[in-house]
Amino acid sequence: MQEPQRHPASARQPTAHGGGLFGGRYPEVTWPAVLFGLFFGAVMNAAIAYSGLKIGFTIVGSAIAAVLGFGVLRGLLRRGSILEVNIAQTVASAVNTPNSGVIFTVPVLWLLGWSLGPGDLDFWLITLACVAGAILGGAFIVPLRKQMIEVERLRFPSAVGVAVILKSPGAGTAKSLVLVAGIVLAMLIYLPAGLPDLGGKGYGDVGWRLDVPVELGSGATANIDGREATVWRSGSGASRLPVELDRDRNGEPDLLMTKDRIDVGRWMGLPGEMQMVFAIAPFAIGAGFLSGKAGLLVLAGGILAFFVLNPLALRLGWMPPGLLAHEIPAAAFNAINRPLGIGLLLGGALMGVVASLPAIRAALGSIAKSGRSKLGSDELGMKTLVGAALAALLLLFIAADFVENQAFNPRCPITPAPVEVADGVANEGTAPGQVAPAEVTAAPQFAPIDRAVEPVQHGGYRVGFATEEARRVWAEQWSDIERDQFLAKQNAKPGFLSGLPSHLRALLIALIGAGWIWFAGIIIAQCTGMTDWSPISGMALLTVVLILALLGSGAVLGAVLIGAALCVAITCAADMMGDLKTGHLVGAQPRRQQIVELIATGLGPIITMAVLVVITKANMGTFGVPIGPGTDTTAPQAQALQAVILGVQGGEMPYALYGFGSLLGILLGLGSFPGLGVLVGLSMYLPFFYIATYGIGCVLQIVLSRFKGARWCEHWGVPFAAGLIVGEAVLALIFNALVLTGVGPS
Amino acid sequence: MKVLGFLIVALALVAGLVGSGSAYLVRVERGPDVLLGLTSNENVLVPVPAAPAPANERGDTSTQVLLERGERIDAGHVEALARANVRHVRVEEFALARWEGKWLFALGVLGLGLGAFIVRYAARAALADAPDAETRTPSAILAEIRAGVERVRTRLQRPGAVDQDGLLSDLGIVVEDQLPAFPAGRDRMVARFGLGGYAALMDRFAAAERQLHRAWSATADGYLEEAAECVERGASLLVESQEELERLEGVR
Repeated sequence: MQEPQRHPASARQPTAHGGGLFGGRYPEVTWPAVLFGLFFGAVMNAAIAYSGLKIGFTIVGSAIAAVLGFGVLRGLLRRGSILEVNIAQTVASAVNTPNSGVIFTVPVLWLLGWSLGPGDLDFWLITLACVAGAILGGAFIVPLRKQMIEVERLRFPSAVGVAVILKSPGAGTAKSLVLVAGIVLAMLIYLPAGLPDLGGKGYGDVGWRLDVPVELGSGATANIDGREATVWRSGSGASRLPVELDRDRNGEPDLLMTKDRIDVGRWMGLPGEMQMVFAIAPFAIGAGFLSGKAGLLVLAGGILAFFVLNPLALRLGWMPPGLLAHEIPAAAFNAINRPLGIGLLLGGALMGVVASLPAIRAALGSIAKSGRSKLGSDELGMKTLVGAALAALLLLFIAADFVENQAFNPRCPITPAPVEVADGVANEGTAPGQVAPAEVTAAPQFAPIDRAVEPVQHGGYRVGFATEEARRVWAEQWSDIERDQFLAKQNAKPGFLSGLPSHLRALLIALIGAGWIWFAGIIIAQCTGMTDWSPISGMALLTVVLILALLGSGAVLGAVLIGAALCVAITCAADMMGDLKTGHLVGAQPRRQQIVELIATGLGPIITMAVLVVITKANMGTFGVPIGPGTDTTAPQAQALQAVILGVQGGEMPYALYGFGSLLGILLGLGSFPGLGVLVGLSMYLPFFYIATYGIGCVLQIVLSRFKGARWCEHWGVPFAAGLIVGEAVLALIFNALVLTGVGPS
Repeated sequence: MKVLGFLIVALALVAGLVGSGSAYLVRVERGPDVLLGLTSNENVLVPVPAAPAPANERGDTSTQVLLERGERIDAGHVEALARANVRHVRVEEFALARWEGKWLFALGVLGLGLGAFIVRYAARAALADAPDAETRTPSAILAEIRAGVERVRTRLQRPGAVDQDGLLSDLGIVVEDQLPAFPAGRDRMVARFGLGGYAALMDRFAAAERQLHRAWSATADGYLEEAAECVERGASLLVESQEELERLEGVR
C-alpha cells in the first residue's frame, strides 16, 4: 500500500466533502448526486414522455444528465467528482428510462376503450406491473455485465459518449474542444429540424423541390429550383402534377428536403420503390461512428432489405397491383421486412446466448465466487439479485392475478346504453362488439363496468356486467349460443391456458412473462451494445402476441399489462448495461451503480403513469378524447400496438415469417460472429432513413481508421462523435421542454 | 476462403429471405381449388382510368377494390382477380403445400449452413497459420501494460510532491493506448483457450482495467491517495491476469 501522497498547490484540488454514502475518501454515491439524479430524472421523464406520445420515439437521457450533472454539481454546487457525476447520470437515466416502455404500450388501453385513472384498480395494477418490470429488467441483466462488457466487449456507443463527457475535465483542453465542437455542430444541424415545432422556420422552408419538366404542358408557371417550370394547378388547388412529382397531392412538386429528412434517391432519380432517404440526425452519425465495423453490417442489411428485397417483391408481383411504386417500401416493410426482421432478431439473439454460454457460466461463477469472498465483491451478489427478481416476480403475479380475476370486457354485454362515462355524465353508448380503430378514437370513452357485480366465467373468460339485472339476464335468458356469439363479437377466442384455474393461469403468465423478459432484455442489451438501436416496440409486439396466444385473444388487459412490464424491463435492462459500461470506463464500482439504479428505477413508471393521467384528462377537456388521433398526443407506437392486437384478434399475424426469420437468424450466427443475426434483423426492422444516416458514421469511422489510424479515431473521433450524440439530445430536450410549456404554435 | 464463405452466406441469406417472402402468397392462376375459402390479408386494388382527362394524361389513376383485407375469397373474387391479371394474393393462412418459395428457402438454409462452416474453417485456419511474429502475443501485451503501470508506480513513489499532470499523462497512456490492445486479440485467445478460458482471463484483466480507469478519474479529480491505491490494486490484478494466462498457456 502506498503512503498518502502530497500534491502541489497548483494541481487540481479535491473537494472538501466526504466520500459518500458507501464510505471511502473518493466521492461516488453522495446525497447531492442522488438527489440531482432523482429530480432531473423526473423532469426528463415527464418531458420525454410527453414528446414521445407526440412523435413516437424517445431520446436517451444519460448524455443529457451527464452534461447537466457537470453544470449543476461542478458548476453551481462546486463539487462533484467524475464518479459522482456518473452516479447522478445513472440515477437520472434510471428514473427517466422506463417512460418509453410505458408510453409505447399503456395508451393502447385508452385507444381500445378502457378508462384508466387513479381511481381504477386497473391503473394501479398496470403501474405495479411496470414497477415490477423495471426491477426485473435490472436484476436479470446485472449478472450478464461481465459477459457483455468485459468478455464480449460490446461497444454501447452512447455509453462511450457519456464516459467521454465525464472524463472531459481531465482529458485536456484539445479533447474538450473537440467534444464541444461536436456538440455545437450537432446543435446547428438539428436546430432547423426542431424549430418548426416552435413555429419557426426549418429545413422544409428552404424550398428544395423536385424539378418539374416543362414539357408537362400548360398551366401556371413557377420558378422551381431557379428555373422556370410548369406547375399544374386546378382552380380548386387540386394537383394536376403527375403523382411521381407530387405524392402528397398538395399541388406542389414534393420537397426533397423536409423537416428532418433528405430524399437523395428522388434527387438522383432512383425508382420509386427504392427510397434512399437520410434522416437529418447528427446523433445517428455519432452512434454510427462509435459502432464502427459492426454498424456497417446494419447498413448492409438495410441495403439488402430496401434495395434488393423490396424491388424484387415488386418485380415478382408480390405486392398488390393498385400500389404506386413509392408505396411499395412501406407495404413491403409491414408485410415482409418487419416480421422477418423480428424473427432474425430472435434467432440471432438465441444463437448469441447459446454461443456465449461458456462465458456466461464463467461470469456467473465469478460473481458467486466473489460473493463468498471475505473481501466483498465489486458486483451485486447473486442472493440479492435473486431476491430482487423474486420480489418483482411476486409483484407481477399479484398484478396478473388481479387482472385474471376480473372481467375482460370493458362494456356490458346486455345493457350497453346508457353507460356512465368517467366524469359521471350519462352517455348513449354504442353496441358491444369488435371496435374498429377509427370507431375507437371517435367513440366516447366508457368507464369500466361496476366492479360490485360479480363477473361470470364463460369460455375461459370472466364476463362483467353493468348491473345485477344484466347479470341475471345473461344467466337466465341468454343461451350458450348467444353467449358464444358475444365472445365471438369481441374476438375472444380461447388461449392455450384457458382451461386452467385462474390463479394457476396467473402464476404461469407471471413465470412465462419473467422468462420472456430475461430473454428480451438480452436481445435489447445486445442490440444497444452493438449499435445503439433498440427494437423495443418489436419486442412489445411479440409479447402481446405471446400473451394473447396463451390467455386468449380477448385478454387484452392481461396482454397489455405483461407487455408494459416487458417494455419497461427491457428498456431498463439496456439502460443498466449502458450505465455499467460508462461506469467501467470511468472506474466506477459496479455494485454501487447497480444498487442506486435498482432502487431509483421503480420511480420512473409511477411518474410516467401520472403524466399519462394528466395528459388524458387535459385531452378529454380539450378534444373530447383521451389520447390518440384527434389530439396533440397521437401515441404512434400505441396505435401500432393497437393494430397488432386487432390483427391477432382477426388472425392476421404472419407467424410463419417470424419462424423463418428466426431460423435464418440462428444460421447466420453459426459463422464467425454469433450476433450477426441480431444486426441483420435490426436493419430490416428499422426504417431505412435512420440506417442510412447511421451508415454514414460507420463509413466515416472505417475510412478515417484506415487513413489516420485507429488511435487517431479513438483520440479525436470518439469525443467528436460523443459531442454529436449529446448536442442533439440536449437540444431535443430543450425543444421538448419549450413545447411542454406552451411555446410554439397551438 | 473466408471471402468465399461470406459470399455464400450473403447469397444464401438473400435466397432465404426471398423464399420466406412468398410464404403467405398464393398465385391466382392456381385457381379456385386453392384460393376458395382463404382469407385475404391485404386490400387488392386495381387501377382504373380516371376522369377528367387532364389528370389521366398526367398519369393519375383511381383504383377499384377487388378484394378487401379480412374478406373470404369466393368464386367471384377469383374470377375478378384473374380478369384483372392480378398475379398473387396475400392470405392469412399459411400452408407448406402452397408455399412457392419453400425450395428457395431450403436452399438458403443449406447455403447459410455451408457458408458458416467455410467461414469458421477459414477463420481457424487463418489463426493457426498466422505466425506469432506478425502479431504481439497476449503475454507481450500484458508485459507492456505492466511496464506502463510500473512507470506510474515509480512516479507515485518518488519523494516529494507528485506531478499530477505527469501522472495523468502516464495513466492516460496505460488506459487509452495499452489496455485496449489486450482484448483486441480476443479471436486469437478464444481460439487458443476456448470461450470459458478467455472469460476467466478477462475476469481478472477487466477488474485491473477498471481499477486503472478509476485511478485516472481520481487523479483528474485530485484524489491522489485513491489513485495510488487503485494503481496498486490494478498492478496486483495484472499479476493475477498474467498467472491465469500462464496457466491457460500451460506454462504452469
